[in-house]
Amino acid sequence: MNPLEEQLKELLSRKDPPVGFEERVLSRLSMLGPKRRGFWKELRVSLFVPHLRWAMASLLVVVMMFVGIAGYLRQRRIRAEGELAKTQVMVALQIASSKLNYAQKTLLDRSNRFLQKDSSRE
Amino acid sequence: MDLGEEILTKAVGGDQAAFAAIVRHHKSMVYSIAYHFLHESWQAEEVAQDVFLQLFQNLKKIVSSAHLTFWLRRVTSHRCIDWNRRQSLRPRVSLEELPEPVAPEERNDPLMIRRLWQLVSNLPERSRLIITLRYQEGLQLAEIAEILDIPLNTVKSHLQRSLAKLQEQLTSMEKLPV
Repeated sequence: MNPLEEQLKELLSRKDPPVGFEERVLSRLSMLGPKRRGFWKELRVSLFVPHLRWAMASLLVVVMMFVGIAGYLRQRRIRAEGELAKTQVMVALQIASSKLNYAQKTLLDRSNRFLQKDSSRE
Repeated sequence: MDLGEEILTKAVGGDQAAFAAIVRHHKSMVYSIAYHFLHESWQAEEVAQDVFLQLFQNLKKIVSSAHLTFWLRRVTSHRCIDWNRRQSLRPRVSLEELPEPVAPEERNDPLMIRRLWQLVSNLPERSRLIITLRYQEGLQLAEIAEILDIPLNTVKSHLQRSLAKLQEQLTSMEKLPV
């Protein structure tokens, strides 16, 4: 260690803080509130407060009922829309089928007439 | 000299007397790092108090007394840098609220010590911390690198540059007529 380092070591030796430091730290500690809990912990703790427990349970049941009913209604609406679409497709298929039958019948008639004319000429 | 693991365990369990023992044991280390960095007794005390309050809130994370010492050095160093950067934004404390200032002890040549004190206080913040941790705490360069979260080579170069600068400035001061 060179002389400069020796001087630095001496200059930077540990020093005690001013008198009463510990007391000041401890008094600041006593002023600290309880450590703030995280959101989920806070929620969990407040859910399990005894006099709130039943109210929270009822609220949870009501919320679940609402969610269930809303889900059921949504399913029913989707099913009705599906049924309607199915009916419309069936009607469209029937119309298309009758049109096709008519076209086929007309074609057959014309070809028969054409064949009859052809044989009478011979 | 290490603090007993038993005291640490008690403090973690919420024993205030054990925590007071920890403060008593480490107060000079924490305060001195802050004082040698900030060069103002009241600021050093403020930082040291904050460090111990932070320790109290994080006691459960401390696994051993060696870890405690490392944690305190690390948090104090980082707090000092934060404090220094915030300093310009902070309102000044009134004179009545200030504790009595503590002057650096002058054992050898008082003039030389005062000059050196001034020169150290003019070093850049990181170099000042490295010098403090090296000569106050007698830490190895690798330990300093770990505490400050910087590469070992950066610590080495900062230390070498700072020592060269201090040496040069002291020499040029000595040449000046008194």
